[in-house]
Amino acid sequence: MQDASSKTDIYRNIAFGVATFAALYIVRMDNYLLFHSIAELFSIAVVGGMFAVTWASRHVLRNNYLLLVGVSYLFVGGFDLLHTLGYQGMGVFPQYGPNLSPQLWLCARSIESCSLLMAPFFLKRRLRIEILLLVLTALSAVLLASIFYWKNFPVCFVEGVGLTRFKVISEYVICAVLVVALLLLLKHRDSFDKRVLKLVALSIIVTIGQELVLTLYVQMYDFYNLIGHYLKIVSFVLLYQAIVETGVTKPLVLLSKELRDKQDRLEMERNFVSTVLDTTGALVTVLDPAGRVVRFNRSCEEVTGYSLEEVRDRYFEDLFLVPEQVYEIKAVFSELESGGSVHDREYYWLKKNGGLRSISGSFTAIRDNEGHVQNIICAGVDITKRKLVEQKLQESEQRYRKLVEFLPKMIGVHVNQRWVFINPAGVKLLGAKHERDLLGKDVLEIISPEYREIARSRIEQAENNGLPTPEIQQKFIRLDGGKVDVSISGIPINYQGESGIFVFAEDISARKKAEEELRRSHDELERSNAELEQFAYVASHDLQEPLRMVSSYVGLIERRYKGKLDPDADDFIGYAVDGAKRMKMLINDLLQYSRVGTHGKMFGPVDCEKLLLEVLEHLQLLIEDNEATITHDRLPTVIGDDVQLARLFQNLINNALKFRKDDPPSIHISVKPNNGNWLFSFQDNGIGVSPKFADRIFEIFQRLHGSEEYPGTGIGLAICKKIVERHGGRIWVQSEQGNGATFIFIIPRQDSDS
Amino acid sequence: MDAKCILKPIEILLIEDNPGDVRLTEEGLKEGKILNNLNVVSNGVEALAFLRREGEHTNAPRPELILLDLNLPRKDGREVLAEIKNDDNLKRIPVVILTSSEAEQDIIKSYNLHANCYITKPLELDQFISVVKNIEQFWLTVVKLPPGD
Repeated sequence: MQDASSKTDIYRNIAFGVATFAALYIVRMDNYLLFHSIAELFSIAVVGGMFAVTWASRHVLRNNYLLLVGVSYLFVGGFDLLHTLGYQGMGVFPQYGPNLSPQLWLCARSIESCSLLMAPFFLKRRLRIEILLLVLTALSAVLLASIFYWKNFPVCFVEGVGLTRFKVISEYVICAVLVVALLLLLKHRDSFDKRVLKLVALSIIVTIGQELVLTLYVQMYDFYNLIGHYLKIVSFVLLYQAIVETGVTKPLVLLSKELRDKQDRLEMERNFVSTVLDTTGALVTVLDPAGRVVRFNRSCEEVTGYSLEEVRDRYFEDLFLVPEQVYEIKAVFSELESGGSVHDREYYWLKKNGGLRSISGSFTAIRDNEGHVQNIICAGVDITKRKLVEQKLQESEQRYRKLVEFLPKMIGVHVNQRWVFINPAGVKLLGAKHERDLLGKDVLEIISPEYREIARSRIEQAENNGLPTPEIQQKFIRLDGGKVDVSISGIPINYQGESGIFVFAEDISARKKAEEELRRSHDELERSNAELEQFAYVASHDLQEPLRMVSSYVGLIERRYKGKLDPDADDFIGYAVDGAKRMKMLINDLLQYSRVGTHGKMFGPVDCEKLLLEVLEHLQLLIEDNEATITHDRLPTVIGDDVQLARLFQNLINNALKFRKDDPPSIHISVKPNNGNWLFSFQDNGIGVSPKFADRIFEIFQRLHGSEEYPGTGIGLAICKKIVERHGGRIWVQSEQGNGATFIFIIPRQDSDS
Repeated sequence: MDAKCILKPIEILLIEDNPGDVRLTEEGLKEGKILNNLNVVSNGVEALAFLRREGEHTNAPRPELILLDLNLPRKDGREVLAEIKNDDNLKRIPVVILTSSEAEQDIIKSYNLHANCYITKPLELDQFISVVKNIEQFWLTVVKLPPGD
């Protein structure tokens, strides 16, 4: 569009120019002086306009080149004016002749070319217009003085000869200067708007042309003279346009561009602020001085459920405050009025759906120049979650505190070996009335001297490697001096930023006493048992001797006098012999029973298979007499006392043979693994045992039958039980009256063959 | 059989403090039917006095067999055994330990002290008699005794 309009402009200008030149030509035909004056005045007018525009827009021009040129051309114009007035035939300076005009012309052209030459240097430098004016004024003064006063300015025109060599050369020099100026301009083309550059460059080129042309004329009213003046007009017009363009048009365009830019920036700024407000997680509400909502960021919308539209222009206190807090917040607003600001106030916001959020808010005011509140900014953070967490934390802390307070065990903490905390149970344990009686004391003070070294090393250990110390027993010294046994352990912890040790201690006096009691009663029991066994052994052993006497002599009597005394005597003797026999058996059995414990061998591997075969061989006669059949599984090797196990097997088989029915006895011995033990079964088909006597038969001397029915003292099974129990096992019987019996026992299997 | 045996009774010394056992031994020996003369002392001191023909035993015969109980008053049977076997004059006389103890250490000790044999008194009467008869039989007819002085 620019191009289109400028195209129209160009055509218009050209048309205008052509018309002007045509008019001027016509005038020239008639009166050269008039032509010259009009032409020059035209140029001067342009220069005037150029300067006027330059001066008016000197602050906006922003292009020091044009500024310099514009100002300089005032002086150029001045000299051109004088040149016009001094033209031969004008009659203004008659005394100076035809030389004056060219001299003034030269001055003008010199200033023109020099300023065009110097101008590029000020594109990047500061240009002080005052100094410029001063310099130009001084220069002009000197030149004018030189021409009018001192009259030492070189001659430029000689009557009848024409232009002096000086003038011509000067003109060429000026051309050269102009060329350089042009080149310099082009060198700095980047500082110029394209269009302006074209105009200025063209102006200079035209000026160059103008100068060249004007070196050619011989007569004042020459054709080249005409063309030269034409070109001068063109050059000035071009420069004028350049300056107007740069100083007026462009600035206006620029201004409007700037305004637009400013507007855009403002817009961007506004958008940026909006974006920030809407992106932040903080709740930002802006109110007008009356407390109505003006801005309401996204976070506010999300938290409350209201949209900006819904809340705009409505009162903050109506929308968001719970009734109880309205007064409080209004007080905040008053405080803002009086110049303060409020920070970190916790209060509630009402959501659209009626729910509440906890907010921690800060209130500040934006004031105008007089200090009145223009807007109130409420910035806050939704701390509902945080409050919830805090509450939970508090509850948890309460729980743990309660735990520590009420735990019946002592809990204490010491830092740098001094107590910093002891729970009530601990206070009581140490015989103090209150925690403060103990705080600050050295922990070793409450430990009994003999344990202090251990305690010290344990503390050191815990502090060094950060691991808990195992529970050990120590003695505490209470405040009243008494000692108490405790079980104590510790664990290093961080206590309020320092490294300390958590101590757990429990009063074990009662436990220790109980243990003591137990040990004592256990020892008692053992001793008593040992005594009993010893007693049984000694008793039966010492009874052997007198028993032998009685038995032997009664036997002797029977031998010698049986049938030789009266029949009563035979009976008496018979009973005595019997009694003696039974007594012997009893004592023997008792001795054996007691020997199970006292004469027990150390356990070793026992091949039960071999053992059984030996026992069977031993009982060979008895087995044959009873026509018994004995079968057995492959028996394992166990750990035990082989003599006693042999006795066990023997007693059981003996019993099976003894307590038989009329049928030939059949005995089966089997074994099977059971929970890491061996389970032996001796099964017979004898008379059996009623379940209600199943326990009694294992008791010492308990018999279910009289000695007439079945011989024996009733100690066999008691001995079996004792043997089995010595081996760490258990024995019992499964039986039905009249239906055989199965004797089962377990021998633990710390075995050698698995 | 030796002519000496038939003509002269064998002297046997029984060192035993239990009169009951003394009597039993006598009965047993009676049944043995070998002619013998049983001398009895009831404690260790007397036993040695008898053997050394000291004190009231100046005229004591020299026994050809000694039956010794271990549990004796005043001087223990083991001591007596030791002394007999250490005495050059007496050590050749066979000593049969006849005691109620069946303790292993007693057996070992006795043999260590050079007892000629060790017998535990049986509990049964019949066995007792039998044992005594056996002793008699063995030591007085089977065995060659050292010539006396």
